[in-house]
Amino acid sequence: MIWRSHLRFLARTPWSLTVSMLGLVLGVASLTAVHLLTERLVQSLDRAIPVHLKASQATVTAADLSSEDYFWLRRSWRAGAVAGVDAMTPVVEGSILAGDTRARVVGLDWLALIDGAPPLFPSSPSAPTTDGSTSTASTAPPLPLASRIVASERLGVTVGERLVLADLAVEVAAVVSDDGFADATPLIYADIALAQKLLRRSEERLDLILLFGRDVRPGYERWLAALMPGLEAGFSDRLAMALPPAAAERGLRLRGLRSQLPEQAFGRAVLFNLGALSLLSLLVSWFLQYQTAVLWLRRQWPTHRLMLLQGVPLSLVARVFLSLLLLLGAIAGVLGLLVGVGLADWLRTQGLDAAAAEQTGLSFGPWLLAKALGSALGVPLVAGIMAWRGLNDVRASADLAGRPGTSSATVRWLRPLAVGVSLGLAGWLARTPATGLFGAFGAILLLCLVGILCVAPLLTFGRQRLFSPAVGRWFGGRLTVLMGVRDLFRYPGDLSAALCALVLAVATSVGIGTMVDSFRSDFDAMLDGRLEAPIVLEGPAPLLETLASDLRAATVVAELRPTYRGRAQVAGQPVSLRFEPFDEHFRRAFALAHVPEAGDVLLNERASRLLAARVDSSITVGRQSFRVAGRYPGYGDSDLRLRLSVEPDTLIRARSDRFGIATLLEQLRVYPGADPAACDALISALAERNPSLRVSRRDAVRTRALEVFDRTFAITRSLSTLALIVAAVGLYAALVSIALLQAGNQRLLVMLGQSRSERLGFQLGRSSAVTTITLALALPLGLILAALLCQVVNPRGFGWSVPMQLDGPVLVWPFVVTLLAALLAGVFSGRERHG
Amino acid sequence: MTTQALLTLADVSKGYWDGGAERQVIDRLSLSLDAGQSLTLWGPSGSGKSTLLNLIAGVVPVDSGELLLQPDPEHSRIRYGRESVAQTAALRRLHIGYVFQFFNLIPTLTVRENVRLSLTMAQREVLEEEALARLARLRLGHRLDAFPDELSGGEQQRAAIARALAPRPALLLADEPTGNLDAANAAEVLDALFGALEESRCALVIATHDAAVAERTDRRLELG
Repeated sequence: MIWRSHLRFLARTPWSLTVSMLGLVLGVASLTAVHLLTERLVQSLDRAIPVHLKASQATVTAADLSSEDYFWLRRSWRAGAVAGVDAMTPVVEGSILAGDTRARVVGLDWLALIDGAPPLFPSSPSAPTTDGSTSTASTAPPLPLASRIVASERLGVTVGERLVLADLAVEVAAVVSDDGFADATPLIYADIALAQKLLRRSEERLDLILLFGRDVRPGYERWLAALMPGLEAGFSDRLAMALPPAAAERGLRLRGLRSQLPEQAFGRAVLFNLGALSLLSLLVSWFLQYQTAVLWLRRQWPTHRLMLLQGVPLSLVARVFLSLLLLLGAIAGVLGLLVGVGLADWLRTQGLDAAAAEQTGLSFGPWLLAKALGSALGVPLVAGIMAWRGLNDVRASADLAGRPGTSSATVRWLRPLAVGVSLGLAGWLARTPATGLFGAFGAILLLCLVGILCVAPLLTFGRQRLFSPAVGRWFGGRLTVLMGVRDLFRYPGDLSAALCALVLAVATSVGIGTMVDSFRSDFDAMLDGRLEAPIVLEGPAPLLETLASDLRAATVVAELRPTYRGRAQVAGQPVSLRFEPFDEHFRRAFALAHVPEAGDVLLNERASRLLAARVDSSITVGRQSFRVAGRYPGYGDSDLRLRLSVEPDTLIRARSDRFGIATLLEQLRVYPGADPAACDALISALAERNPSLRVSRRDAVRTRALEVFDRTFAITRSLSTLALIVAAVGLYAALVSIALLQAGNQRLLVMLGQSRSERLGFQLGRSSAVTTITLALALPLGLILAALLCQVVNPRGFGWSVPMQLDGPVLVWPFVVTLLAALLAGVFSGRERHG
Repeated sequence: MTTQALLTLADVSKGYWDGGAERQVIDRLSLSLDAGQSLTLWGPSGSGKSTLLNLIAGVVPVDSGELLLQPDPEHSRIRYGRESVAQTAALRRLHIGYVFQFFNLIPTLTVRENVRLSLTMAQREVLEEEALARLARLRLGHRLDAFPDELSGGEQQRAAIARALAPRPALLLADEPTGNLDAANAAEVLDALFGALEESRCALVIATHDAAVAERTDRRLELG
């Protein structure tokens, strides 16, 4: 009978039920979508780690690492002085030309890894051979020893094929999958001695030493990483390894693996941001569930009271009420999971390019099911219990309407204490770079907590002020507006959960919106400088070298600027090098005060930070020392990047081994002469004759760059908007709940002859009050979040800071959404009541 | 200029669907009430007292018949009966006051603000001094800034009477105004009500099954 009463109640309030379910479904859908996306992206990032780095735990680096250092370390390890290490190998890395293709050579001492390290190459069910047949046995590929190499598929070679690389004859022992560095360069694994020859390196010089040992991540980190994919980027490297004290005297440094994989750190920082944002969606959704429970309980309270008066046990009424919430939560959970898959699918097409989206499949895992259903079932249960208790409090304090409620001395002290501690801790986390991304987002979460903690006192303060006769006189004849405003403050408990959710969502929307817009504006300005060459040519280095000679002779070309690239280890960190003439073009592109000297180097912010290179300090690249002339933001650079000046003609003549580093011609920047159309025609003709030549025109590059930028932040923006919608649904629930408490007033107002405009004034008063309270808290909070995102999260996660700029629409949009949600809630809550 | 009844009901009928069958609550009722007159609607629960009050207030449309209200001799008669709640809002704002058994005052407004709300809606703010003086006569002068939940039941009903009469309505409708009060408070409220009526020359239609109330009115209409 009690069940039937509850179900009939739901059937009679379809609008309220639909809106509440919509909020719950969206909440679960948003966390499902984020989980699915981040999980897949983590997997694809994992696939992009080269096999030798995937299995290792740490690296040993030095400014000038030698084989003597390696043998000393190995002897120390054998003597038991190096803790936690099961195996180690020296490594040399570099680039060579394999035909027209640039390939990355990785040389290891493979025999040193046979005992102690896990197998590096996975077993392959089939391997292509020179005669076209495939072996069906599942065997591990042979190791690259002596003159045999293991190549990645992207190199386009077959097993048994003989190649000549850097004048040396080698044989392909195996072909492995294309997993590897994110720059999509083909990989050649070789024995270290062969690699040194291929790279024309001295036998003494090493890039790093890889250490293998056990994974010492604590269980909770793995648990968190499974529950919230992407959050692991916030954890610092944990090493159970230690070098002997004498290692420091030799200049040897033990580092976590992340320092060797900057692009991985970049990708995972993006995922961390998504993970943190999903946490917000989860919080907003939980607040909504509480609000829904309050609303339903409020509407059913007269029936409950009647049942209690008729002798139905309180526990039975409560059990049925909570069971109903669980039932609806379960339905919302299942629907949310299904909608979440669709949302993830849509978000990945928004946020990833088509190829990446194709490769990214979606599937349910146990963690996702636990998270979604736990949220859909556990939270309604807790929310229902809290709502049940809260309703009793409201009923008890109903007689005190109009005056502030009493709270215990403990509660009165606890709140300011929590606010003070949270502010102090947030400040410390934001100012301590060592706390990493977790620290930065910890600061954000603590500030959000401060915002939430301020909601109830603000409502209580408002109630104290608004329920004074003086305020009534101030409102004069606008008494319906005053009623609307006072209605809101009459039961702070009913509104505070929805306002907390709304404050969180609006603050995040303002914070993320401001950060993204600031970033875009700065990125746009950077493109203006960087894309000053009207045409850019890219392609195989030999082709570019030939074209460079031809174009220099062409009269339609006013100027030609070649740029070169290379890779090197600087202070134990892998860095990407760009060589180009330091001239007026360069000065303009990087907005420098004057043209740098030939012996200068410019660093991106990430490199500057990680290499601890200050302006005017010196830095050694290869065999030469350079003065640090400045640093630039380097948006989008996942690498540590150094820009060096090189005389272009010298490079064209002697393509490699400048400063001991192989360099390759990467781009030709073409500046047309007096007849741009003729120059364009010439370039088009060249492109037709050379299919491997890629021609980029300034406008197209600019459009593409901005398109990639927008796509990068599409997921973030969508999730933030979704949180805003869910919060608006929560607000609706809160306002309906308040409207139900004021049902008697409505009857009286009808009898008094309330007009349409007065009803609108009443609703406007209420909506304006909601909007004012929300924005009073959310705007400052959102701007602080934006500052933290620009100046703390970005440098820690991606390596660059963004100058914050305030943008009108970003601030107006949440205001409009809040006001609209409040107005619609006013209109539709009336409809529900009368319907 | 002709003098006609303040309120006229001509063949008014109203029925409800109840358990699949139509139940005629008011059947071809005709009556008239002059200014300053009082009428008791008398009858057991469910006899149609509240329905008739709602018909007169224009919050429930009639099934047939019509109602006519002539607030004062200088006004032309207002015909109504089938309009919606929204359409008859102006009628209630200007010419009809209402006192319920419960929920007579907006709980988030003080006594003074409740009265002012009524005046504002009728656009008769100039009558505020008069309304405040009435509150003082009803022994509420010291409670003007009190919220309804700070008043006793009797005080609340007296404040409701002051609020209902503030815009000088031509007709006051009261639905069991003393039903929720003890005998002493009920007598006090009735004194206040009839005293205020004498001052204002307002007509009264009161629904009750309290014989003491019915005895004080000029006429009685038995329903049910």
